[in-house]
Amino acid sequence: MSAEVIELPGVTEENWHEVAWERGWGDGLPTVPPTPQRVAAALAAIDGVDLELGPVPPSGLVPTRESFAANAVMAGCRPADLPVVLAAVRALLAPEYNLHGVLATTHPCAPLVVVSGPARTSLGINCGTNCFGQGTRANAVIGRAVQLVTTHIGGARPGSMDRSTQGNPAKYTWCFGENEEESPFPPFSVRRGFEPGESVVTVAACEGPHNINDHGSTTAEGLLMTIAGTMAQTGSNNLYVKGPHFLVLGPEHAATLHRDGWTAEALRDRLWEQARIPVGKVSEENHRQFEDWGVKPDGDFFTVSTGPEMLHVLVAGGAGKHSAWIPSFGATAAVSRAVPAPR
Amino acid sequence: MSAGGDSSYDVAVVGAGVAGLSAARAAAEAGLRVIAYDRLSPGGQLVNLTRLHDHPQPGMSTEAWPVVSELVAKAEAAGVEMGFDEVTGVRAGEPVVVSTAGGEITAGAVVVATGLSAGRLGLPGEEELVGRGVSTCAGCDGPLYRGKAVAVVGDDDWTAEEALELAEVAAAVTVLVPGEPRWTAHRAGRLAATDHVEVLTGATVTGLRADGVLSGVVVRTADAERTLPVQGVFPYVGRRGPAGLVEGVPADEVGALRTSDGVRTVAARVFVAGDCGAGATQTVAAAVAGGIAAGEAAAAAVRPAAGPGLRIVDPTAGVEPAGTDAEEHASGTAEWTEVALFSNSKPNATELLRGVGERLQAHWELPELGFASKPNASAAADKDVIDWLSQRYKMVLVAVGD
Amino acid sequence: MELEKRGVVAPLLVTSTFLPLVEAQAKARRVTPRVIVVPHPVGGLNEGELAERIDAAAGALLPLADEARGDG
Repeated sequence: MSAEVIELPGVTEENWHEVAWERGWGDGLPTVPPTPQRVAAALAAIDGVDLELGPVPPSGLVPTRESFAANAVMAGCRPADLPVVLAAVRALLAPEYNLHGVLATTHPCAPLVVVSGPARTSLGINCGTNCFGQGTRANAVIGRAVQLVTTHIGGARPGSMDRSTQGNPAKYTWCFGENEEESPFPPFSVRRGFEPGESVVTVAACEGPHNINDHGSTTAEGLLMTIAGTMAQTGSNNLYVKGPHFLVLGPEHAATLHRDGWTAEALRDRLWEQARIPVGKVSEENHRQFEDWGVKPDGDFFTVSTGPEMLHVLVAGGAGKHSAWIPSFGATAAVSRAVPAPR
Repeated sequence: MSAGGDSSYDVAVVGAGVAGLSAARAAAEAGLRVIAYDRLSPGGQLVNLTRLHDHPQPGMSTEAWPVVSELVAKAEAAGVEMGFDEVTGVRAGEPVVVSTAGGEITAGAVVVATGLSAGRLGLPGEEELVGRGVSTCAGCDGPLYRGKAVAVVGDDDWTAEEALELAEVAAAVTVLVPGEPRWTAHRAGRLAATDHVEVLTGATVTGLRADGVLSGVVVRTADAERTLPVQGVFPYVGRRGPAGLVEGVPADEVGALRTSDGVRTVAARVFVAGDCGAGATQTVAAAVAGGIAAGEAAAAAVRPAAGPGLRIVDPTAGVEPAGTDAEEHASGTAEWTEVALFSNSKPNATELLRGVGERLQAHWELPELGFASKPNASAAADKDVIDWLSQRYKMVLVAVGD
Repeated sequence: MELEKRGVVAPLLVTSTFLPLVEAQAKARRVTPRVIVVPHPVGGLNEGELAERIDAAAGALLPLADEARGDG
């Protein structure tokens, strides 16, 4: 570890935030100083686990165990959070996630981190009320740690490498758990091929959630109309770059859909057909642009992404008649990795 | 003289007496920007003393003014700025705000070293008689009472020394001790040996007699009340500390500021030195030691950094991926006639490339230009396309950005 | 930049806002790219505006290309 330990003469826990900020570390909020002691304690949680991390774009540097853990410490992680952070970073570095493009784009995408399986409960990850929002330590620090790794090791600092036109508050942190307990569908991770009872992290580069408010519909048909209407957006990348997108159902909407006989797969198929954008809603210039890129309407409509399998359906949140559609950067993929178990 | 335009200091010291000058010097020697305030001139209580007793050692004495000038010289040599202004209030916080008659300044930490106020009997008409018979400085005012009768009120060593000093000039000195004397046996012996000094214990001054100037004091003892005809009275009782000067810092019954260890107050960045601290030992040596301790504590509060610093693991560290530099690519064998355009597929990127490419085509008289593009603007370039371009072309004009 | 690493002369037409990105990438990859900066944006321009961008970029490219070919 010695080569990576920096002596900061005159720096204390009290003035650390100022010093860190001057050095370009952190996301603007105070961070926890990654002292060798804290880093060692964090690393104990992934003892015996190979990082299996490749180069982080754009710097192309491969994280060391210590620098990886230092970022988790800075984000406020407890040692127990590290395996989930590691799984998320592994997923982020999969080629199909397209981290380089994600970091350099003007699009406001943020790394969406969804946790499935027992790690949710053992770490206290919020899967229910306000799960996208503030107020839960595990959600806050895990999402933040993922972002700090790319910022610090990848060097993707806003303004130089991170070229997002407006950004997105989810770029501070965005992690939540699947509400498996209130989901009428098999767990998202299981539907993605993992074993039941396995802790899994799924990432994708996404916009913030678009709310789907439907207090009035009492049937699946009614709800589907609202959901499809929300998804049929002319301004999302899923219209022409295509790629993955997410439907995160609140448990009450999910229960209504399930009661009326809908499975997660059937919902995907139906919404693929129903969530369509009339060609007349897309500008002439965009028609030409889309054509240059080989994007053609299906009859009188543009589709949202390229097929039903690009829509990922899961349940999260608490009581209430709200769900969310989460469009993506397009040139990314939903990537899942199992949470490694320490030795 | 005062803040000189910049009204922000690392440490401000209120009171430039022995304790204050010692504190200011200690903080300045730690490399900090320090100002020491005093209403009039530096020196504090020493200005009122001609000789320092029990200094530098108990039982010894020395002249006061060289001690003062040395303290001032050393403080100024360490870089202490002197501010001749009255401090009217101190508001704890980060920074600490110090209100003076000349305006507000801020400081990272403040040392309060005001000492105690002059002695007072607490009687009606007393203030009007200050300088007209009421005095607290035997060294300054003693000669005014040559051949006259004076009273000294108090019970401590200081009272005794002042009485002995006055006895050198006055015709009669009556020491009025409210209870029993607290001075040392040595001083008791010296007082007893001076024949025109009388010590009256259990004596309370209950009134002042005056006709423009002091003519007597009314003294009550256990058995009687009488008027003592004196032209001067020197009270060394009723001296008060700076209670209320610092918001939120509690004081004892005489207004001296309470500390946890002689230096620290309840306010994190406000420290106390010298006589104004509750229970302080009122000697020069204690004032020097307390001043240094307070100055060092203030410096530590402002610059907690003085320690060994923080060791952290570099969060930006990483290693070069294995094998990347070993990867070799044979330089293409293409000729300079082989030129292509590579578009990132952003709006107008292809148009821009083609426009620029046509100029080059004309300039170099090229038969044709190759063309490739990314499948969409957001994806990384396809490896196969890069392979093809690098093998087939000598020069590729690439569009980046939007 | 990958092309330059493979021995291809690859001038980059970079819009001004993306210049820091290119510079940071180049630093990370330890290459010195040949860069022609075009005022941002390029997208959304009409024909006349685009022609101005082409003029400016060509003015920078031709000497750069001549020099690369060895006849500058």
